[in-house]
Amino acid sequence: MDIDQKTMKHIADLAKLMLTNQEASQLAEEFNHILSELKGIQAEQANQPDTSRIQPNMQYLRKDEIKPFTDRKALFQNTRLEQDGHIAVPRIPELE
Amino acid sequence: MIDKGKPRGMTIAELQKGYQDKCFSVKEVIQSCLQHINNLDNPIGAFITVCNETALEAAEKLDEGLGRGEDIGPLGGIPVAVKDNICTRNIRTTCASRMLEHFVPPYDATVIKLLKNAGAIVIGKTNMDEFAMGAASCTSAFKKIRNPWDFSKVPGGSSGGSAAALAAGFVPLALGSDTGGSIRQSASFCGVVGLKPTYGAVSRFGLVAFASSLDQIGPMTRTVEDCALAFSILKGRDPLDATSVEYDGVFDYANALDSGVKGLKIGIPGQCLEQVDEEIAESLLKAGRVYQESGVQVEWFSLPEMDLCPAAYLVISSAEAATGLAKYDGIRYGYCTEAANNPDLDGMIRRNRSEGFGEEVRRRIMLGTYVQREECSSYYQRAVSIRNKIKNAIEQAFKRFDLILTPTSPVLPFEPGDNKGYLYNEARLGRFTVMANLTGIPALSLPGGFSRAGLPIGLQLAGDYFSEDRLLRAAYCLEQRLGLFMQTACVEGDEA
Amino acid sequence: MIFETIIGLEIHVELKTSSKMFCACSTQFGARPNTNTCPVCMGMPGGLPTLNQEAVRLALRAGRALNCEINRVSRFNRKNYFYPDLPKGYQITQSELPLCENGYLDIELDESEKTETETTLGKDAPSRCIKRIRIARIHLEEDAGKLIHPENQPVTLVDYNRAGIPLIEIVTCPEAISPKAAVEFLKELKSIMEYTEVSDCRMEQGSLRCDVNVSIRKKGDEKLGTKVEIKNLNSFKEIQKALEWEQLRQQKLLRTSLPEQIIPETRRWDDIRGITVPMRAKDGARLGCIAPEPDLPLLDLNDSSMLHFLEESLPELGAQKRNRFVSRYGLSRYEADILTKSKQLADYYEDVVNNGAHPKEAANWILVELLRLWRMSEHREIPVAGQSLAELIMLVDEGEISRNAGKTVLSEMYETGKDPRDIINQKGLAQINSENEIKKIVEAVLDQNKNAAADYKKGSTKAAGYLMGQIMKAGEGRVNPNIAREILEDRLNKL
Repeated sequence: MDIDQKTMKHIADLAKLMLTNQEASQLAEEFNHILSELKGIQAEQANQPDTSRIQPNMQYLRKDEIKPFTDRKALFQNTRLEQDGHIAVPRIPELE
Repeated sequence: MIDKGKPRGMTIAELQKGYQDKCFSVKEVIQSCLQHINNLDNPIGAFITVCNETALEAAEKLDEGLGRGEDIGPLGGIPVAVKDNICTRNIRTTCASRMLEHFVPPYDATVIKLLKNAGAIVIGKTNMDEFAMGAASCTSAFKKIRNPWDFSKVPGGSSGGSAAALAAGFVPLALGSDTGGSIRQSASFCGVVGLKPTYGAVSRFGLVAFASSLDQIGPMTRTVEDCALAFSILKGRDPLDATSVEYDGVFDYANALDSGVKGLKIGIPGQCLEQVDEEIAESLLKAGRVYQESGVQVEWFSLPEMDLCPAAYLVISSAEAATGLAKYDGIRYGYCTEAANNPDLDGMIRRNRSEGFGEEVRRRIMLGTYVQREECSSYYQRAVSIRNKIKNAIEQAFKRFDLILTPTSPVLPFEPGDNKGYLYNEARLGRFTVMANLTGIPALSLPGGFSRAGLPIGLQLAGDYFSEDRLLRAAYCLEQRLGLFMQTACVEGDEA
Repeated sequence: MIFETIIGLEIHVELKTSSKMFCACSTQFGARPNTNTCPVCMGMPGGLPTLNQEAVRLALRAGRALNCEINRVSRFNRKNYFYPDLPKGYQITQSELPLCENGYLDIELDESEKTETETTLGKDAPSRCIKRIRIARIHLEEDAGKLIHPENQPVTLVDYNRAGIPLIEIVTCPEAISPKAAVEFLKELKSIMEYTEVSDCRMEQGSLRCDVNVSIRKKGDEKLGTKVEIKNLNSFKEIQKALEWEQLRQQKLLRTSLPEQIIPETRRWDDIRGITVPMRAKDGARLGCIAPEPDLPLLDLNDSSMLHFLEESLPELGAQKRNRFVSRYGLSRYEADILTKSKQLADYYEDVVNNGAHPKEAANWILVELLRLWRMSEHREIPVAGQSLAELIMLVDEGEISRNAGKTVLSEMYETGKDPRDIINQKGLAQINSENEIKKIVEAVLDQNKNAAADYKKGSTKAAGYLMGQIMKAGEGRVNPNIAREILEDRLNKL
């Protein structure tokens, strides 16, 4: 499938990015080139093995124990706006 | 007063000896180190943040310990430069991005805890490609990095700041991260040693993710011995990283280096001579001869899957980055647009992300978003298929060989404008390195020579899972035989 | 035209763990905003998820209790959407390889609900039938944070205490069932989640939440109609009302030949107006969830540390318990049904019986008296110890106090938690069993009611009843009625 400018604009929408028409067509061209490299390859079926896994049969699950993060002040030092212990963000239109 | 250039340019081992013999205090070393950075880093741009106060405080504490005759740890008093995508508690961690320009992590990455526990002192945070996306350290939102060997050239990427800090002799140890070759390629361009460990050998907790299934933190040093020592501190299972594993290799690498390489089998893929800079090819051949002379069996073999790797790498890494970077919306923390009175939340997120991320990052997010669309999923599946193919090929190769030798980069350090713009071209630069990320095997880059113009050439050794000991041993042998490490310690031009 | 309603349910159940799904923060409900948070569940750079073993164990219990096939290997994925309640910008869930698949739950329905697919229960319960609801999948996922929209302020407030709380999502296959049957299913499901101790299922706290899908088709059609999803359903009652309303809305549109007005959409139940209204999509723009979650390895139950989760025995579930109550304690199906509706009540009943109360009497007392008190009060737990209620029942059985006095004592026990004997002594409620004492009361009553005694002699049985009433009154209800009746009859016959 060839990627066009319109597709790129849609993708930018999904990724929450702004894109000029020129950027869009440039990216479309570039992506077509990259993905053409993959055209000849047989797609792997679903349920492929987990390639990120080196040691098989090793499960590292966490015990259900509470360990609170104690440095509360540091945890919120990057927060833009706080209000009554909440993180305040620009008002979201309610879902109606 | 310490000699000029000393302890600048010293290795970990040399500093340790100096502490032992009481040639200098930790504070003197750290002071000198900070002074060099503050005086000389301006044209290089290796650092984003320098930890003047905290480093000196830590040094004073260690000196007190030394005064009481205490053991200050295996890396006691060693200054370390940390790539700025590794979280450091109360030290700004920016990923060289506007998005995180003022972000101060509330916690230390596991590797930082390990280093601190071993006595190391974080001296500063190094410049890099934004969110580690790039191969030339040209995408930093703050400043370019110059290659200390030749200011007109790039230091490689994305761990260019760490590599440059080593090459400039600012520090004996730096941390990098490697998603497609970032540690190794920048080590190669700057003439230093860089190890990308087995996937899972070093905890990723606290590493700001680029692509989680490929990312790995590793040590960068000027000698193989230092690299081995640092790796022995960093490795190990971390309960905070579900993908980290119990390491079942030899522990004391530094002591194991001398046990030699006789009887090892090294394979060189024939593909390594195709589309490779001639001088780099020469270095590769020379290294092959050196190994043969040292009693290693060297054979050529074919690894055609290597050429498929860059495209697969781009698709997989971008897909993971697209979701991994979705948390940066700039409304809770991070970059927020000046047009802040925009009441529309959606518009604001869009603005924050478009202004907060640089072009390269946006491009990868776009690609990653595209290949995850259901109607395009076959691209992702194909990339996974290539990943499995290369994994099988590598497994087969390690039935025949103990190690695989390749150049680290097919090209010499280039000028900032070169090779830029096209994602795929950049990915092609990593065609020898990405296979280690796709498969999870460990790989190391070490200096393999110099071009006629005096630019460093790096060679890569890759080994089977958890074979860092063998890798380091073989690298040590080559390093000693080539005698190059003597040249890498210092750069000229710092008289001012 | 005969229509058929097809209903599918998506139930989110909060798992009863101490810590969150992917980090070690507490799951405690009602904590001050953002106090149960850390860099991981706040989606800070560099945070990584680590899977809570207890969440896996509980999800497996749920899967086994709902007769599912367990996938020995399952996988986590990232489900991406941009919304401030989602700190990482994606939710970790299991989309392609869930932990459990292909299960079912049998529910009992009234015979009137019977279509072709149900089995009649037969002579055991002739008016009931069994319907099998198929369960497509159960998967693990994390909850999102909570958003508050304070009035007249330009901000939305975010509380991440809930972000990362472990959930299972139970998805049923679309079935041709009535809204009432759907709710029956949910009640049974809730009971199972409680019995297996998978969840508290507190709907008012959101630990059990349900979205429903409704579509209508002509009976006999193969193809499913257009599916409409309904959200914001906060109680079983509302779910039934919403389903009934939506069913009617769609039927009307089909009848008036406006089927194209049924569009695939998400609607919100407006409980005040009692209607469903179209809902703005949260964010239609999703990146998709093809890529596996690379920060978590495959969940592999073949690992030795996991296998025992599969072998662990399940507790007796509601339906099994109900049958046992009937056969062992001689209760009616109706009694057993109510007693086993919640595990809490069933356990309480058995506690009372085990402390010596007669099973049938215990059922009576609990179903009639105790439940009345419980429903009127705010208590979450039954404030009367099983042992105390057993004692009270035995005191009544042995005639220590009258049944009526027993009721008074129970009310008092409920209020104060006191021991029944203490209350009886304090209030002087012990039954008068002494013949001499009763005789005195009878004589006194006869003295004052000579007319009634005379009427009795003339053959009025009514008069006897009146006199008994007077005797009970004079004895403040404490007189043993059997003894009093004997004495009274004896005395009257001797007149």
